[in-house]
Amino acid sequence: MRQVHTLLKRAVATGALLAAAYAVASVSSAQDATTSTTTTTPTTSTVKVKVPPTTATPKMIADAVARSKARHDKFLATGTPEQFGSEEPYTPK
Amino acid sequence: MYISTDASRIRQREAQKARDNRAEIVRARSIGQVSRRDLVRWGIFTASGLLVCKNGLSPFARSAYAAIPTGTPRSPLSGAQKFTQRMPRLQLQTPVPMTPVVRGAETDAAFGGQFVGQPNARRLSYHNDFSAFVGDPATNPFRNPVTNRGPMEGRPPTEFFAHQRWNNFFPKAGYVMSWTQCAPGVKFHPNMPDQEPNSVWCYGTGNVGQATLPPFLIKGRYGEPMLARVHNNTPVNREENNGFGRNEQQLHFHNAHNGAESDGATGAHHFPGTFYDLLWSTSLARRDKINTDASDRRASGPDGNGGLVNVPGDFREIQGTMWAHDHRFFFTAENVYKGNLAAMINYYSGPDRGNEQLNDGVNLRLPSGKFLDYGNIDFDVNLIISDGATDQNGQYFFDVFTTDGFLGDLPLVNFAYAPFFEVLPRKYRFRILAAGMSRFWKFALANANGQAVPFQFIANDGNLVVNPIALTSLDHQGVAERYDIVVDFSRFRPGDRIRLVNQLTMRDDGRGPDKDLTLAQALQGDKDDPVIGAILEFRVVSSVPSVDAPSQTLTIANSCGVNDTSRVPLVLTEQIPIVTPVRTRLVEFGRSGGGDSRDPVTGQCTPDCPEGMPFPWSIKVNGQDAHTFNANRVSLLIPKPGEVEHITYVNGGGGWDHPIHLHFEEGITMNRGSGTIPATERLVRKDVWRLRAGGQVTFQVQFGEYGGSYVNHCHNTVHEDFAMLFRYQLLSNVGPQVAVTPTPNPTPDGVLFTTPEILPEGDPRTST
Repeated sequence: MRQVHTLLKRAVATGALLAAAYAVASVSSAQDATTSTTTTTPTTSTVKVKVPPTTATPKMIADAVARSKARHDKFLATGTPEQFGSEEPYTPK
Repeated sequence: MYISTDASRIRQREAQKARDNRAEIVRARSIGQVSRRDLVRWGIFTASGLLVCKNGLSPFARSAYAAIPTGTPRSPLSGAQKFTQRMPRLQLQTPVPMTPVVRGAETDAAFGGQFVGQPNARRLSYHNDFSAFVGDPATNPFRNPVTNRGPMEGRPPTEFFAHQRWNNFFPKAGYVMSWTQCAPGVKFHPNMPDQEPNSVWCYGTGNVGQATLPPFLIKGRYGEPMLARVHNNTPVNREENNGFGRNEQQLHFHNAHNGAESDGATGAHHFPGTFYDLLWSTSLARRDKINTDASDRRASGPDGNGGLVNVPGDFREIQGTMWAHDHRFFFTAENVYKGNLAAMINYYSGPDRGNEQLNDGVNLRLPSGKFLDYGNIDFDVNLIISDGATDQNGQYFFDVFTTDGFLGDLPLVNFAYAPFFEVLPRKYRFRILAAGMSRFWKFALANANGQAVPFQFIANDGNLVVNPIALTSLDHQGVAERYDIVVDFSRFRPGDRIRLVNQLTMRDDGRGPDKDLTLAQALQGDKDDPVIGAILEFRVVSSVPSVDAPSQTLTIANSCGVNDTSRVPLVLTEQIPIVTPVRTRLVEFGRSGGGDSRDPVTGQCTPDCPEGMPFPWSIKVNGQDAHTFNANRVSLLIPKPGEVEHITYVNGGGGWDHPIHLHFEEGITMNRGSGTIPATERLVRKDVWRLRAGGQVTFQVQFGEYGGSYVNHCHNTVHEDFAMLFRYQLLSNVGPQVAVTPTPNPTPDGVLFTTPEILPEGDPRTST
C-alpha cells in the first residue's frame, strides 16, 4: 500500500512535466487534433499477403475443436484459465 | 468480485483502499498526470498493460486476511430493501411526422411536431455541406454549434455514408434524442442518493442537456421507416466523467436490418455538440429475393386503423424485441454501463401486432392489450435486467481495469433496484433483455412456496420460434440476448406473489458462468453475490391502471378469464430450411498472439484507443493467424448478397465463455457440434450465441439488401473493448457499396478516411 501511494504521489508530482508530453498522445489526442477535415478518395485496393483457404473445411473445424477441447480439458484439470497469449503454440495430435 | 458482508472490518477497509487506489490511478490518467507506460515502469501494470495482482490494488489479489480474491466493497444500500419500489416502465417515445422537402436533386425530411426547427434530415451527411463551405470557418453554418470545431453531424461524408435506399425507406416517423448528463433525482431506489450529473449519462427526448432513467421504449412497425437523430450532449471536457465513460458514441440498433451507416458500428463515433442521423428503415430481410411483390399478408405492418401495410420480404424473418446501445469501439462497456442504453425497440408486424383482440387471420393475438391498433403494452412488458454497482458515496461505479469481466452487486430491472410489478391474474408477455456488461443469467419463476411456475418461450433474440416451448426455467442468457416469454398468472389470486429468480452463479473474475443452482438454492440467495436469487416480484392484484389508455382501469372483470382474449397459438411462424451453403467459414474466438490492434508505425489504434491499452482477446478466421480488433482491417468479406453461408464459431477454450453477436443479420442455429442444443436454440434464428467454455456453434446465414461495414464480436463488452471484435464487409450489387468501405477515422474536426486491409482468408474473391 505504502509503495502504491508513493508511486502515485510521484506520479502526481511529476504530472505537470509528463502532461505536456503525454496529453496529446494519451488522453486527449482527438480533442487536441488541429488537422482540418480532409477526405481521401475511396478505393477498393487491398493488401494481400497470401492466399489461404477462404472456405473452412471439416478438418479445419475439427482441428479448431480439438484445440478448444485440449485447452478446456487443461482448464478443467488445473482450474486455471488460459492467460494472455498462452494459447499458442498448440499442435493437434 | 464483491467481498462478503461477513468479512471483517479490516478486510472491508483493505478492499476499500484498493478501490480508492484504483480510482486515484484513473483520475491521474484522465487528467494526463500519468500514463500507462509510467504505470508499467513502476510495476503497477504488467508488461501487457494489465493491473498487477498486488494486494491493495487489484481486486483479485490475495491478502493476509483472506485466501479468496480481495474483491470490492459492497455497494451501500442506504437501507433499501428488495421489492419496496414499483418497477418503472420504459419511457415511451412519441414520434413526430416527417415530411419531404425537395432541395435540388435531393429530397430532405423535415421534422414535425415538437421537433420543428431541427435541421432537416438529409440523405447525405451535413459533413459534406460543412466541407464544401467556402468562407470564414467561424461562420460555417454547418459547424458544431457547441465547440465551433468540425461538422455538426457526425455521420461521415461521401456516398459511402449516405442513407442507403433513402427513397425506398423515406422516413415517416421522426425521433430526436440526446445522450447527456443525468438530471437531479436519478437514483436506483428512493433510499439511495441522487446520481451526480456525470455519474450517469442517459437519454432524454429532444436536444436537451439533462435526461433521466429508465431508457426509452420505441414502437416501430414494418412499413413506417424511422429517422432517429441522436445528439451527443455529454461534457466537452473528457475528464468530466466521474472516473469512467468516454464522451464519444455511435448508437447501434441491435439487431435491426439497416444500412451500415445506420447500424451504429462502422467506427464513426461522434463528439459532444454533434448529432448523428440514423435511418431505421424497418426493412424486412430478403425483400430483394422473396415476396418481392409484397403479396404475402404475413409480411406486413399495422396501418394504425385495423389494417395492414404489406411490405416485400420474408415473413419468417420478422423481428420483434430489439434494443439500441452505444458501440464506441474500445469504450463500449463503460459507456453502455454508464447509461448509453438508449432504448428497447419493439417492431410490430402483421403477425406480431401488439393487439390481442384484433382477429384478421394474420394477427397471432399474443398478450399485449386492446386499446391501441398496435403496440399495446398493458400486458406486454419490457424488462431490462442488469447488474450495477456504486461506490461508497452511492455513485455509479465501474472498474475500468478489468479485462475479464465486470460484475455488479445490485440487481436492476429497468434500472430500478429489485422492484415489484403489479399484474392481473391473466397472461402477460415479458421481453427480457440481459443488459449487464459481463453477467450471464438463468431465470425461473417461483411461487410463494418456492415452486417453479411454468411459462412459454415464444421468441429468441426477437425472432419468433416456430412452436411455443413450455419451460419452468430458461436456458442461460448471455449479454444482449433477448428472451420473450408468456406467463399465465390466471392460476393465482390477488395477494399472491411470484418472483423472478436468477439461478446462475458467476465466476468471481466475471469470465463466465460458474454453476446452475436449483430454484431452492437460488431462493436462499448467495452471500457473495447479491444478484443471485429473486430480483423482481410480481404482485397479483385485482386492478391496474392502463398504460395504453391512461383513463382506463384494467380489472379482473374486464381483462381476465373470458376477457383475456390473448392467445399463444401452437404455430407462431414457419421454419426456414437448412440448405447447402455457397461456402463455410470458421471463426475462433480466443486468447492468443500479442495483439495487433495498433498500427506498427504510428502506434495508434483505429479508431483511437487508450494509450498502453492491452489486447488479450483475439480472433482467427479459417485457422489462420490471430488478430485483435482494428477497424481498418476487414476480416470477413461477403462478396455479394443472397449467398447462403454456414459459419462455425469455436471458443478458443481455456475456461472462458463468450456471447458472440453478429450484427445486421440473424443466423439459424444448426448445431453445437457434439454438444447438446436446447429446444430454445435448435433451428431458431438468433444474433447472439453463447459459446460456453470449450463450445462451438454452427449457423446458417445469408446477407442482403444493404452493403457496407459491420462487425461481429463478443458481447461480454469488456472482452469486446479489449479487442475481441472484427469487421466484416458486405458488398452490394449497386451503389457505392459495390466497393469496400473506406475506414472512417473520426476527429472533432471531421472524418478522415483510410483504405482498409483485407484478410485474404476472409476474402472469397481471392480463391481460385
